[in-house]
Amino acid sequence: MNAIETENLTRVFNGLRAVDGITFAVEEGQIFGFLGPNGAGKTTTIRILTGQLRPTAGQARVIGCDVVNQRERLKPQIGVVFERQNLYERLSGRENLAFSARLYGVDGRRVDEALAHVELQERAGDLVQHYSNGMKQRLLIARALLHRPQVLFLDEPTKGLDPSVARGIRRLIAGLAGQGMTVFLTTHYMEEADHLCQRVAFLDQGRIVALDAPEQLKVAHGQRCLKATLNDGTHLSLSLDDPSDGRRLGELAATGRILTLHSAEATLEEVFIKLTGRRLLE
Amino acid sequence: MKWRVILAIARKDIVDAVKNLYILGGIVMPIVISLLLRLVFPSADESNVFTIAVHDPDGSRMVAELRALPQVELLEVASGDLLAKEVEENAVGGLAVPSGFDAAVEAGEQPELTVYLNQRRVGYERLAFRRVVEQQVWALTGREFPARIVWTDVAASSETRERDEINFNHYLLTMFLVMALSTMGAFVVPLLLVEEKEKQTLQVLLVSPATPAEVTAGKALAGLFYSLLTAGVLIGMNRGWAGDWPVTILVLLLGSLFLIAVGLLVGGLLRTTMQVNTWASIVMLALMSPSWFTIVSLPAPVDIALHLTPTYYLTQALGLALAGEASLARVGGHLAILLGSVIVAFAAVVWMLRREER
Repeated sequence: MNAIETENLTRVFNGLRAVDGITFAVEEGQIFGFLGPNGAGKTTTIRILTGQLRPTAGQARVIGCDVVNQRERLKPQIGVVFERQNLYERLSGRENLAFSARLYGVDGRRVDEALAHVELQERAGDLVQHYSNGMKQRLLIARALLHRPQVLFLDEPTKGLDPSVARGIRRLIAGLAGQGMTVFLTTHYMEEADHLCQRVAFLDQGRIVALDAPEQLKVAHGQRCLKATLNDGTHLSLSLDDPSDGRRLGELAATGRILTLHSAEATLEEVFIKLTGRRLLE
Repeated sequence: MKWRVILAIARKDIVDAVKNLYILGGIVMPIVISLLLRLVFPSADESNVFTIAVHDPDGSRMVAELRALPQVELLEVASGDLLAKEVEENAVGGLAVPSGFDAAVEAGEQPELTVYLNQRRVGYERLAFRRVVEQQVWALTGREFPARIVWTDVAASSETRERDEINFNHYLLTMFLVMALSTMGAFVVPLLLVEEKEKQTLQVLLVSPATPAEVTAGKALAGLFYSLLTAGVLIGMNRGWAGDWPVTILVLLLGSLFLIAVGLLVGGLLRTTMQVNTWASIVMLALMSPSWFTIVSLPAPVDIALHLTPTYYLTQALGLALAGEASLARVGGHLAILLGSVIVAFAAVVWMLRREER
């Protein structure tokens, strides 16, 4: 069953098509990556799917709820981690979660569970303004998980974090999918998407230009080749689809001239460049 | 409307607001200014001592007890014929205690006690005088009606009364109360809303089970809490207050609701704290201005402009309620206009929410 479905979803701002007729589906329990450069329409799509913004055209359903007409039914079933760390900075971590618990009508004991889940119990009483970026990000995730949503929307969850903190956040996200939660992740870090997502969609100028499993995209749009370094320092690229390259590889191996040999599949970044002619971080 | 959600938002704002020095400043400013002005005008409280003229040939127990009260100054009058004149000229009221009054009370004969009331005196003085007399009479035996009180009005046309109604103490208190309510409404409430927009925490609320109307109601409730709290502190600081509690509370409630609705409109239109600083200050000054000019005559155009401001009616009703002069005939019109303003202002808030919703 699909947790998220969209059909020809469109949003126009002052004549600019921020989201331009996108259609996709996300299966329950899947981590779905929505990839694209800044301004591609990722955040606008999240805002539509979470009921914050009305689409200009098209339809979207999340957990079977129409995002326009069934918002009130939808809201308790989704959690959102926004791109900006929008916490109440003058309140403590625990107070932030306690406030959310009251909004959702969740038992107060759940606050401590959520804090423990993101390993923030020891600093729970500190004001959020004294938290590091990584701690704030973990608290944001705890807040989004507090009411045990069925779908979690994560908008650039590792943006601006140092690599070790980002790794911790990715572990947390991977763990959520392991518990059966559907995760909708926007990012412009290709490695993150490659590592976490079962399926990804490439978004460019409001349109989906590719949608598949990362491996399939790399196979479909990348080159199947091997990179060889010879004893004399020469570098060679040998295609796995070209019979003459296959014969040459055999000869080189037989004569003992190969120093190193690596597979050289395309990265998601290279696939994106191939499809759009632009880099993700442009 | 989900009350759980509204109360959660209000509770969060009540806690969060006092941790924001900027908002805290807005909340305590009227109290601080009130304290400073009380230091500058210490004599403002002296008007709480009132003079009572008495003709008491036998030296009754009731007059002896009145004499012991700190807020009462007694003026002995030698003849009952002179009492009314003395009251008119020098006292808020007078007591004509007949000979043998104490014995008649003891015997349960309910003797007649003539009480003169100077209608030229301000309302709160008259009210305080009436209360003191009634309390003293009732305290004579502990029984109901130990004496028959005959109230006799002395002098004064209504024109004189209107002019005399203004007492500096009440003028200041009314001004501070209007200032406090205006500050909460036009400054604190917009800040509560705008800060959510600026820090993008409003998005968090809007993806939660809270609807825009519930978010707005939560902010209004937090604003109402601080409005009534500040008003309570200001009234508490005014020693010897003798107004009408029910009417004062009703006026404060309606005034707060109107100003909070104005604040929600301002907060809905503005997006940054900087904008609130600029525009809310102007709105706040415009709303407060009717309370500054209650003791001076103004040119007709200015007077007309003030009459068009709902806070003018708040000021008038509050002044009368504080002076103990809030009869339905006198404040009914003001309350009706205030209630109408509250309805119109909240209708505008609802319209704005529906228009802005997505």
